[in-house]
Amino acid sequence: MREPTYFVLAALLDGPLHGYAIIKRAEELSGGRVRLATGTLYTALDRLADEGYVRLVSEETVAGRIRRSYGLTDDGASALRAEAQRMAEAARIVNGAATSPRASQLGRRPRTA
Amino acid sequence: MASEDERRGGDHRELASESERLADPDRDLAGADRDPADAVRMTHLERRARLLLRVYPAVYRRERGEEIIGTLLETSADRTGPRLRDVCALFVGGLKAIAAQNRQRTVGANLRVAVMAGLAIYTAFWFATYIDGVVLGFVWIGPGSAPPIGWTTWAAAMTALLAGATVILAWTAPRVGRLAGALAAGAVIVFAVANHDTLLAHLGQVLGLAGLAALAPRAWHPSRHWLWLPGVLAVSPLVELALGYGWLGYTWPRYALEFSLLAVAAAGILWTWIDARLMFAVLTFFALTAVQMAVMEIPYGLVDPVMLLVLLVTTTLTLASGWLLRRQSARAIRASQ
Repeated sequence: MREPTYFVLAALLDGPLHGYAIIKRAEELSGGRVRLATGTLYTALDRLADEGYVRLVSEETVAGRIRRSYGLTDDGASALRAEAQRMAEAARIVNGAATSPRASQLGRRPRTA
Repeated sequence: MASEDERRGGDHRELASESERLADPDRDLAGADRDPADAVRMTHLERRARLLLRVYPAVYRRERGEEIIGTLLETSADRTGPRLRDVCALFVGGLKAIAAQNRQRTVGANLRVAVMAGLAIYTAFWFATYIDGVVLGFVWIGPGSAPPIGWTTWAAAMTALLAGATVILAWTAPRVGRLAGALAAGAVIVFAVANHDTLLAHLGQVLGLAGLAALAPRAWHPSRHWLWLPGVLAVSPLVELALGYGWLGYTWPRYALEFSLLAVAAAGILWTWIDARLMFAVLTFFALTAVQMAVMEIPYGLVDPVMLLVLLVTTTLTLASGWLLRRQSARAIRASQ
């Protein structure tokens, strides 16, 4: 799962959001690292909807324009959790290796960052 | 997506209030209390946003266009134009939407449109040369020479008009298009006989027109965007005429046509990864041209090795693009099942 996709799904964890709110929430959650362009967001939403990870929840008219809110499906929530788990395990490999006895045997200084 | 929504259910009232909470009232783009300067800036921004959305397929624009523009305006509220990354993302998003649209069609429908486009290019290319001849018949060329305006000029003009009508009507009004195609094919044959040409010399033109008439779908209309392809070729001689005949040399119109076609071929190659239909269309044109040229050599008993090579390369590339087109279509069918 690519990082923008991950944060689009993560943005919807607390409940359905419309396009602009997803962009702002994804930026906030990623500490400003993921700044989704409008085109990227809707391409991702189309794909995630096709995959069954995201669904259209509501439609309303704001300032004469249709505004749609999207929510996470059960499959989407599961995929997000699985990805988070995978990343945590991947991080554990690196962090664990840095402090393991074998790293010391090889003459490496464990990272403290 | 509505059916998905119904299937999964959801508390719309709660979600609407959540959405309202997130909708900043200060960003009410069409609000009556907006500063007039803001309104003008938004108009410019919106106009540019709408221009960018032209990359997306018409169906997609109707479904999602207003929503995308709304979000784009919200993210660019403090600007007079979209950011470069927004421009790039919308362009790429539009291409992906086109690809996704193709994946919803069957292989047969995609191939049909591609072949129709190829035949339309062929028809436009050769009948543009007819227009070229008509122009030559009507326009003074060089000092002291005025070519006679004979019946062949009028016949060429009439045939070119019928061919042009066939190309347009095959896309817009298939029933009339079939009639126009039959008339145009008949006109080509009459023109060939009266001009003491062999029918083989016009085989490609007749095949192109008959193919267009036969393939014009009854139940649905292919996108009219395809008409720009034959349009570019058909307009080339007229552009040349507008610039002034002879100004750039006698052979300029021919070069204009050929360079137009090469430009289309180059665009087809670049576009193939998104939509192989353009490449298939261009290759259909080249295949028909190669067949016509090969047929022309039959009466003389000549077998040009270069022509055989062209046929071989064209056939290979046509098969390759056909395979790619099938792959682009088939993936979608699997996805939709």
